[in-house]
Amino acid sequence: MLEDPVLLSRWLTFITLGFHIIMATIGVGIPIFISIAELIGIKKKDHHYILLAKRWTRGYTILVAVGVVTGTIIGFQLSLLWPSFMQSAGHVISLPLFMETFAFFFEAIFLGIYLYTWDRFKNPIFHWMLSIPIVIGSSASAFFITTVNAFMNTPRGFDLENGAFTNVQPFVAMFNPAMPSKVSHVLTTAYLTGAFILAAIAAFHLLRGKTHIYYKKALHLAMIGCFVFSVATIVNGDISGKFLAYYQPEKLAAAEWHFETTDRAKLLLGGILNEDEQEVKFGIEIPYALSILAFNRPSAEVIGLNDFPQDLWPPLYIHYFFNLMIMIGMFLAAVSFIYLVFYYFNRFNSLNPWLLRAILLGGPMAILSIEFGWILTEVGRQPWILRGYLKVAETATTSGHVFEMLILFSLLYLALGILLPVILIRLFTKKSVESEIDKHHIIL
Amino acid sequence: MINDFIILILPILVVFISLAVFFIWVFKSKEPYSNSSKNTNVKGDT
Repeated sequence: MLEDPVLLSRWLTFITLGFHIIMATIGVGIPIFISIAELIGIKKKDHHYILLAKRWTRGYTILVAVGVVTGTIIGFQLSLLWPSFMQSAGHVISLPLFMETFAFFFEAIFLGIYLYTWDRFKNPIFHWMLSIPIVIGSSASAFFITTVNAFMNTPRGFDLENGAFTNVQPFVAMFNPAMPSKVSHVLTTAYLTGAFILAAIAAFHLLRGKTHIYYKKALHLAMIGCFVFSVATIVNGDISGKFLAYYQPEKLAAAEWHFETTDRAKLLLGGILNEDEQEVKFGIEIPYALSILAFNRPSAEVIGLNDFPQDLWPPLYIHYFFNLMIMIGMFLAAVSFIYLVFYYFNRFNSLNPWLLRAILLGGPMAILSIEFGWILTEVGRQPWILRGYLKVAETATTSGHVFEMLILFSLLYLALGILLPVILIRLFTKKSVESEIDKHHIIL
Repeated sequence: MINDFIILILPILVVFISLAVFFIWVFKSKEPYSNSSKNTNVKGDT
């Protein structure tokens, strides 16, 4: 096992991306909230919102710094661990890979200017305008890198001649059929995760007895985002199901343990699979739901796994990741909905400790959901690295030193994983909200 | 019933519509927890 470069390469890619995706997702989600908080603060002349934008920016900057480290590593690992893939298809997707870097630099340059120009403009709206390139850059960065992943799922924009990828059309490769549903799902879940992280921080402080209006404003702003983007994520999830049914039916079938092609297909939740018998025990079946998810019709026929050669089946454990992702998504939507119902209907207390605890739990749960969704989409593409053209096992490095790299990078991520929360906690406890509000002479 | 619009166009619209709804909602909503009649006691139950 320790000498199998394919397996080790997969593990190293898994650990690197699994770590990076946390920084990347929060890094895409939070700028929207920074920008809107500052604009509200300016328009309503409310220094609490300005302080919100300032404090969120500090945390965001540290996440971006760590994201740079892991993002750079991914760039190298693509070539080092998957040389045949990059050699064959690298030139087809070089445009979005380059544009992703460009979008990141665009974001980083304006973040630097934004950080160092607080209170430097006579009209603060000019400072707020600097946040727009940060929002555009972070979301554009997610857009471009997701087009690369979409390309791996539905490759387009080239001809295959004697094993070589020729007649490359970069825009056709970028705007492949998987792109809209994947980009949309990535963006709305990033905004949702960002919102829940910010809401969880506010809920944490409120639960600790800090009842300043600052935290309540932070919570309310973030919870509106949580609800709107959770609804958008549910809509996108439904569209992703339809995309899979059309373009990657084997992935949907594996995620649902749907073996025989049938109409009126049932959606399966949980269960234990007997792979040899293709039977499921203890699962909850929802009649017609898979047909509706796939084609919006209860009588629609959904393709089963047995229509594909068994050596091209994705690993069937993705069913659990699919279920967990959906369950967490529903939990996040329910918590944000309950909060807003409690808030707008005065009969209930929207700052009920149990609700705050659920919001606090929503932060890490949102990150877990991102991880589960990413595992579902990546493992669900197996055995292909480029669906229908290149297999993972054919494109990995043959180097005998991947294990050393795996140990080295695991230690690096462990160090970053310990240092990051320590730095963030120190940063925010050193400068408490109350002291910063006092400093700005705001009446408490 | 499924067509290219749902798979290729609608997802992008969902992103822009959700962003627009979020911005409008946040700007149109009153100052949160400013109303004294609203129960804002963290330790209080419903």
